[in-house]
Amino acid sequence: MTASRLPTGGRIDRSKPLSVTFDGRPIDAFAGDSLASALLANDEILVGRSFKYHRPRGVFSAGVEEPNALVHLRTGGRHEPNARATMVEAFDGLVANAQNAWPSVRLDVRAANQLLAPFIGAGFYYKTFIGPFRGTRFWMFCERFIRRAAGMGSPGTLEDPDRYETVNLFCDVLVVGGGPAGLSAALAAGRAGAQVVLVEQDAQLGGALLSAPIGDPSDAWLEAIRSELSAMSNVRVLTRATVFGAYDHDVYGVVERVWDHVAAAPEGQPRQRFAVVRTKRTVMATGAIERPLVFGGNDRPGVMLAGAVRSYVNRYAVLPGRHMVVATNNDSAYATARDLAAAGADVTLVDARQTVPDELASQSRAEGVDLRPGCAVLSAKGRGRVAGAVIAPVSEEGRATAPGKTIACDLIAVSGGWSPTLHLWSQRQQKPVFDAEKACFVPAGDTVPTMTCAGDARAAGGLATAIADGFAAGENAVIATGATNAAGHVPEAPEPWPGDDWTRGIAPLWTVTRADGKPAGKAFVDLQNDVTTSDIDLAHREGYQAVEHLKRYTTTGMATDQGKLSNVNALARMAQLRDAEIADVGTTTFRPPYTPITIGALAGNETGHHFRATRLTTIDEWHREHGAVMTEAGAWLRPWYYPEAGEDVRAAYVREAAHVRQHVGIVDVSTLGKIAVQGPDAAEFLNRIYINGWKTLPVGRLRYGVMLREDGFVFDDGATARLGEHDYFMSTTTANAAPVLAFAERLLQTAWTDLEVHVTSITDQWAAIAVAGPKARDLLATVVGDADLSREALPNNHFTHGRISGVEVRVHRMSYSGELAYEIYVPALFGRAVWEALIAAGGPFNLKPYGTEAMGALRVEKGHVAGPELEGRTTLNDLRLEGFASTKKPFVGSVLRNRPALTDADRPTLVGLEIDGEVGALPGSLLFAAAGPTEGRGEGWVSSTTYSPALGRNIAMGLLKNGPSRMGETVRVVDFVGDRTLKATVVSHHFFDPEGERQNA
Amino acid sequence: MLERRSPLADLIEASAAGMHDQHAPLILGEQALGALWQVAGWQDFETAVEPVLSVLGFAGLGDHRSVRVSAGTECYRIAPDRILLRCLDVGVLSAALNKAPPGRLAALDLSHARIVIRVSGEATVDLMPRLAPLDFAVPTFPIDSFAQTGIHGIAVLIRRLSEEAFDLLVPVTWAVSVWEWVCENARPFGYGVEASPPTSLGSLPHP
Repeated sequence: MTASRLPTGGRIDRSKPLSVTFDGRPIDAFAGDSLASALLANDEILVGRSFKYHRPRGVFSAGVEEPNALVHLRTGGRHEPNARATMVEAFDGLVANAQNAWPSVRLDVRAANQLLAPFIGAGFYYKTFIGPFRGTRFWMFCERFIRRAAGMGSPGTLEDPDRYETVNLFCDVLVVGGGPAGLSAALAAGRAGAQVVLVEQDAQLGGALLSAPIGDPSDAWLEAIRSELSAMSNVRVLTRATVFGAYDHDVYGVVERVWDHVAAAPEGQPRQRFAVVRTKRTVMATGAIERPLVFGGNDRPGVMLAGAVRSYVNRYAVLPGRHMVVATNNDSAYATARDLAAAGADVTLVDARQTVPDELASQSRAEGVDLRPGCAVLSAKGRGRVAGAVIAPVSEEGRATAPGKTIACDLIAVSGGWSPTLHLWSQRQQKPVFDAEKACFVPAGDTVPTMTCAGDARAAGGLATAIADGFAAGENAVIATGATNAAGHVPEAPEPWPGDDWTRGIAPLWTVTRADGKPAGKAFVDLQNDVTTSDIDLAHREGYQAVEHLKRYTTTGMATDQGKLSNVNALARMAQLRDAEIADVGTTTFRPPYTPITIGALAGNETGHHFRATRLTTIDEWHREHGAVMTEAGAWLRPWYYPEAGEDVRAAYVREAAHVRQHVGIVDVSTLGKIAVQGPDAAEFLNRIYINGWKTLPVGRLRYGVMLREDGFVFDDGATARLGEHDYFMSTTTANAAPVLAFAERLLQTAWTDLEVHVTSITDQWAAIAVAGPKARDLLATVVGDADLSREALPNNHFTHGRISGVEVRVHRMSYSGELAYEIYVPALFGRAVWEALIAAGGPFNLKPYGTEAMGALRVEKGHVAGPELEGRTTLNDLRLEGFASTKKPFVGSVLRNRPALTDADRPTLVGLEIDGEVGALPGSLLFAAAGPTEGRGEGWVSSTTYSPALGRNIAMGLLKNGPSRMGETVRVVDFVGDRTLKATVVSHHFFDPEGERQNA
Repeated sequence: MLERRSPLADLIEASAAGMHDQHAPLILGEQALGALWQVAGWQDFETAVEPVLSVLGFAGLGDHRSVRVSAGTECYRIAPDRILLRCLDVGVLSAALNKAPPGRLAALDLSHARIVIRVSGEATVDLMPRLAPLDFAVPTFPIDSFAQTGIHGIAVLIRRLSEEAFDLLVPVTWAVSVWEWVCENARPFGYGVEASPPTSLGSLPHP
C-alpha cells in the first residue's frame, strides 16, 4: 500500500502547496486539505496509539467523530493536545506530532501494555488490588506508572498568546448544519424574511455533498443554494463553527474557529469566538454519523469508515489504498465502492444482507466491483496496518456460517449503518427512541416545540427527502416566529442515486463473530477508549448492565467520542447479552459539549488584566502617582502602604500608624459601602434591620449599628447618619456593601412591603476621606469652610456640612483609628481635588497618607471588629457586642440569636492577645491552653494580628473559649501550617486608649 | 469651584493623542453626564411625581424601554416606582424637584455616580453584541430606547442615540475597567478615541 494522492480531482487547490510536518517529517499538503487527508496522501497510516493498550491506530473517519487520529498541534504557547486530525485544516507552517506514545508513535514502548491486557480490562481501576506484599502499598506505588501509561495528549503549560472573544447573537431561526437539509432550511427561512443564523462546522457549506465526486449533479445544486444564501442580508452564515451545547430557553453555545486555519491570527483578531446564540426556533440539520462494524482487529490502521473513504477520494483526491474491501449492511457504502473503483482501486464489496437491491448490485458489478452478498469481514489481518481481511458468509445475527477466507487488501472500509446526530436535541432533556427498521436512535416527535430535526438527523431518507424535509422545517420555523413572506418552492433536488438512502433495507449487524459466537480477535466497540466486546461482556457479568453503569464501568462513549461511534454498538452488545431490545437498554445522557472546545474560547477575553472588572476610587491615580503599593480588597484596589526610602510593608505600616497617633494621617475610605435609605418609614426600617434603636436619632447625628442575619449571626456593621426627616446615609463594610443592599432590598420587597422605603447604592456617588490624628481638627479648621468643627459644635457621632475649595462636603465626626478623626464625604468626581486640597493644607501639620495595613493596625489596637471577626459564624455575644442590642424591639435575627447553640457559654469569645517575643501571630492560628494536649481544633483562633507601634509589641485579636474569664492567662498560639508555637497573654481587646479619650478630644 | 474630574480623563487624553482617527469604524469617548437624579416613590408614585414631570414637560411616567426627552431633560423609567432624570442644566432639575409633594418622593443625586461612555461608528453594530447580552438590532432596540444590563459584570444603562451610536452610563468606580473592556472589544475593528472633556458642573444642593 499505498495511500496516495490522485493525480486529478478533489476540492483541493493544487496551486497552493503548504508546508506541514508530522512528527518532524515534512508532509505534502495543499490548500483545502485536512491534516488527516494530508497524512493519508503521504501514506502516514500510523498516526496514533490507543488510550490504554497503545495499539497502533490510523485515521478512521473524516469528521468530528474521529477516535484515533488525535494529535498534538502547534508548538509553544499555542500547543494544543487531542486535536482531531480530521478537523484540522492544513495550513502553511502546521506542526503536528503524535501523542500518547514514547519514544515515537512508530516504536512505542508502552505497547507492552497489550501483554497486560488480561489484567487491565474494563473496570480494573475500580478494584482494590491487594498484595503481593502487605496491603495495597505495592499497587499504590504502581498506580503512578499505570496512570502515566494511559491517557491522551499532554496539555501545554505556557501562556496562550492568542486572543479569544465572546459575542451574543440573536435570531429568529438557528439552523445547525450546512448540509442539504440545513441549507434548504436556511433558504426557506431566509426567503421568508426571518433573521437566520446558519452554523456549519466545516470550512465550507455542503455537508455530505462535498464528498461527492467533482462534477456530480449535486455541485450545481449546492452552488445555487450557496449563492442565494450569500445574497440574503438576513442570513448570517458561520462556517468553521460548532454548536456544542443546547440549553434551556433556546440558548445555544457556538464556538467559531475564526483563525484556526492559519499559523497565527492577525494582530488583534480572535483565534476563536464563543457565540451565545438566542433564537426563537431551531432546525437541527446535524446529519448522521456512520457506525463502525465490530469484528476482530477492527482497530487496525487501514480500517476506516466507508463514508470517510469516499470523502478522502472525492474531496481530497486521496486514494487510501489500492486493494480494498468494503464491508456494509446498508446501501450507502455502494457509493464508496463505486467511487473507489472509478479511482482505480480493486474493490471487493461484502454486504451482510442476504439480498442486495438489484439496481445497486448490477450497477456495482458493471463498475468492476466484486460484490459478495451475505458476507462480512470476520477479522482484519496485519500488524502495523491492514494486510488482509478474513471474509465469511454470515447469518442475520452476524455469525459466520462457514470458514472464512482471507483476501489480501490494504484497506477495509466499513459501514454498519448510520446514527443520527441528535446530541444537541437530547441535551434539551430528551431521550431518543430506537427505530428498529432504520436501526438507529431517532428524535422523539415534537417533544421540544421550538426545535425541529430535519434530514439525516431524523433519518428522513435520501438526498431529495432531506432537501424537502429541511425546507419544510425552515418554513415551519419561520411561521412560528411570525414572518409572513413566502418561502417559495423547494429547490429541485439533484437526480437521486439509487443508494443514497441508508435507511432503506438496512440489516442490523452489531458484531461479526465466528460460528461459536465469539469475535475473531479483539473486536473494539469504542476505539477511542479501548473498549472491546469482551469488556462489555465483563460489565454484564459483573452486574453493570444498566446503560449508565455500563458507560462508567467500561468508559465507553467518554472523551471526545461522546458516543458518536461507540454508543449504539455498545448498547446493542449489551442488549444481546441481556436478551433485550436495544430500545429497552436505552441510551446514556448526552451533555455539552458535543465536540471538544477549548477553555480559551469559553474564557473569551476575560483573562489576564480583564479577568474581572476592577473597582477604583476616584482618588486612585493620586495614590499610584505617589508610590502607593496597591492591594486587592474584593474587587477594589486600595493603597496598601506608601513606602518611603525602600521600606517594606512592615516598616511602612508601622511608621504610618505611629504617625497617625502622633500627628495626623489621611486615608482613602471611598470603598466603604454607602446606601441611601429614603422614605417616610426609613427610621422604622433601620429599627428593624439594625439591632439598636434608630427612631430617636436626630438629624445631624450618626450612630454605630450592627445588623444580624435572620439566623442570628452577625452580618455587618457601620455608621448611619440622619441627613433629613426621611433621609439616612448608611455605611457598610467594604466587603458587605452589595450583600447588605441585596439583603435590604429583599426584605423590603418580600417581608416588609408595608414600609415606604427605598434603598439605593450611593457608593459611587461619594468619595470618602478619613483624616485622623491629634492634629486632625486643627488641619480641617484651616481648609473646611462654612462649618464649625469645634469640639462643642461637632462632638463625636455628629456631622456637618462644609466646603473644601468650594466643593460641598459632609464632615462626619467618627473614629475608626481611635484618634480624633473625621470622615469627609465628597461628591466622587471631586474626590481627588478635595484630597489634594487636604494634602496641600496638611503640610504645616505633617499630614501623611496611610494605607490599609496601617488602618488595620490602628483598628486592632482599638479592638474594633472588622471582616476577620464579622465572618458569618460569630454572634453578638462572641464579639462582645450584645450591649448594643435593644431589648425593646424586635429586629432581624432577634429571635434566632437566642438559640441555645448561639448562647452557649462555652463559645469562643473575643479577646485580645499580647504575643510574647518578637514574632507576631498569624491569623488562623489556633489557641490552646498553656498546658495540655495540642489536639483537635483548640480552644479558639486568632482572627486579626498586627505589630502595635503604640504598644511596642505584637498583638492580636482572637476568639477564645470562655474568653472574658481568662484575662491574664497564658495560652499557646499554634500555627500548624508554619509549624510554629507562640505564647500569648489573654487581655482585653481594647488594647489602646480603652476609655476613648483620644477620639473624644 | 474645582472641576469635576472623570476617572477616564487621563486614559482618554492619552488615547486621543495617539488614536485620533476620526474615520475609524469605531469612535470612543466620554460625554458630559450633567445632573442625574433618581426620583422614587411608592404606591402613589405616578400621582406624586406628576408635578415634577409636568414642570419638565413630560406627560406620565412612560414605559420602561424608551428614553423620553423634553427641553434638554431625559427621563428613564428604570423601575415601576423609580425614574432617572438627566439634564445638563442643574437649575432646571432643581426647580422641578421643588414641586415634589412633601414626603411622597425620594430624590437622590447621582450626578457623581455615573460617567457616560459614548460608542459610535459603523462598527457599533458589531461591538455592542460583544459587550452585552442584548439584541441590538434596530427593530428590537430602536433609537432612544434604553436597557439596564451588564457589561463585564458591571451594571450599566445603555441608551441608543442613533443606528450607530450608544451612550453607556457606567458607575464611576468601575469606569476605568469598563472603558478598558470596551477598548479591548473594539480592538479587532480598530477605533479612535475622541477627546471631549465633560462639562464642568457642580453638585446640586443637598436635599
